[in-house]
This record gives sequence, structure tokens and C-alpha cells, in this order.
Amino acid sequence: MLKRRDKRRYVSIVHAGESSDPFVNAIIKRFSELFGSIATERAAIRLVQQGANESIIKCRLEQLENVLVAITLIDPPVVTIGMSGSIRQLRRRIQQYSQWQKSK
Amino acid sequence: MTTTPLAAVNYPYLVVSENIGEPADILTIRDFNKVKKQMKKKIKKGTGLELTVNPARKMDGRSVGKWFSSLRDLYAFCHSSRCQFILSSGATSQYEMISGPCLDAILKTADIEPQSYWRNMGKWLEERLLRNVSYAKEAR
Repeated sequence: MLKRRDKRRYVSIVHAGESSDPFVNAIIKRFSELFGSIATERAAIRLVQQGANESIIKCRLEQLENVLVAITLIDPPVVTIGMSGSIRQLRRRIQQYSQWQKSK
Repeated sequence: MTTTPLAAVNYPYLVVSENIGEPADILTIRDFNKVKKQMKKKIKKGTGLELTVNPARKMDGRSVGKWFSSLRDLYAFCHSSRCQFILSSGATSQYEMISGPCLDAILKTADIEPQSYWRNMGKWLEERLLRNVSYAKEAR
């Protein structure tokens, strides 16, 4: 049997604070509260890139919906601005988003 | 708006209220279980019943579970009483806003089909706004 790599999704997030580590912990904590420890491990939520206001996290595709629910229900609040299967495409979209914000 | 404008206006509007007795286009529900009995008697057909996501952020895991169950109950109530179910962010700042996919994920978690939700919402909003605009034109 072929051992296939799990599909994942990269999610970009805008947050108010400088440090983004607590918000990833908050997502994992909320996810665990709502969907349980096994689902949390399956989701494999990881911080990929950390910025002043924008950060990127990754998770498994099969748990994406639950991750989005957890992101929506954390305090302090954060906003999901983009999702993609490849980090390159996501970075491109974030660039477009920040250019659009500057032009406003 | 919290009240109907006294004079004619040139823009479409919706009246939002938290009091069940008041005539309004949208009623914001804080705790559905508390007002369920009152709503059964007083609610008018076609009213929008709004539940906001914002308070759920500050709840613990168990309370969020209950919040999801009240969301499901409110949706079922809206279906039976021919009201429009509205799920909104209740945002007061840009960081509290919720993207479309996240709202869809919440709806799916509550066993609500997002496509039919948005379709019904679009229809309801169009009808309501059209009604309020024609009122303004007639009043002129």
C-alpha cells in the first residue's frame, strides 16, 4: 500500500498583538476544548511564519473546518484573511491584500 | 438603526432591536433558552433573528458547546416560525470580523447547510430592504 503524505492547508491570520505565539496556543487550546485531544493531534496545527500583525499557520486539510471554528472562537480575536494549499500562493495573496489595503 | 425614522429617508434601512416586544426587522438574541417561550408568543413572521459570535469568544469550552446547541435550536425555531436566521460576527473592531469560510465552518458545525443559509439570507434581505425603501418613497 502506498504511504501518501497528508494534505495540508496554510492559513494566514491578522492579529492585533506583536507576538503571535500565544494566539497559536489559544487556537490549539480552543480546538482541544471543542473537538478533543485526538482531533487536535490529527489537526497538526503549527506556526509557519510570524509577523508583526500577520502570521501563517498550517494544519491538516481534514481538520480545516474545525480549525477555522477554533480560530473564530479565540480571545483575543484574530481574522482569517486567506487560505491556500501552497505557502507561495498564500504569500502572493497576502501581498495583494496588503497592496489593496495601502491603496485604500 | 434602533428606531424607524420619523421622516422619509433616501436610503434602505433595517431596524435592529434587543426587545422582543418592539417592532423591528432584526431581533438580536442574547440567550435563546431564556426568551424561547416569550418569542413563541410575540414574534412576527418574517422577522430576522440574529445571534452574534462575539460573546462566544469569552466563553469556556463547555459554554461554547451550549452556545452551539442554542444556535441549532434557534435555527430550528426560525424554520418553524418562518423567521430568518442570522448569524453575525457582532464585531466592534476590525479584528473581531469573521471571514466567509469561518462563518461557513461554524454553520456546518451546527449542521446548517451554508449554501441554503446564504441563499435564504439574500432573498430575505432584498425583500426587507425593498419594503423599507418603498415606504420612504410613499412618504414623500
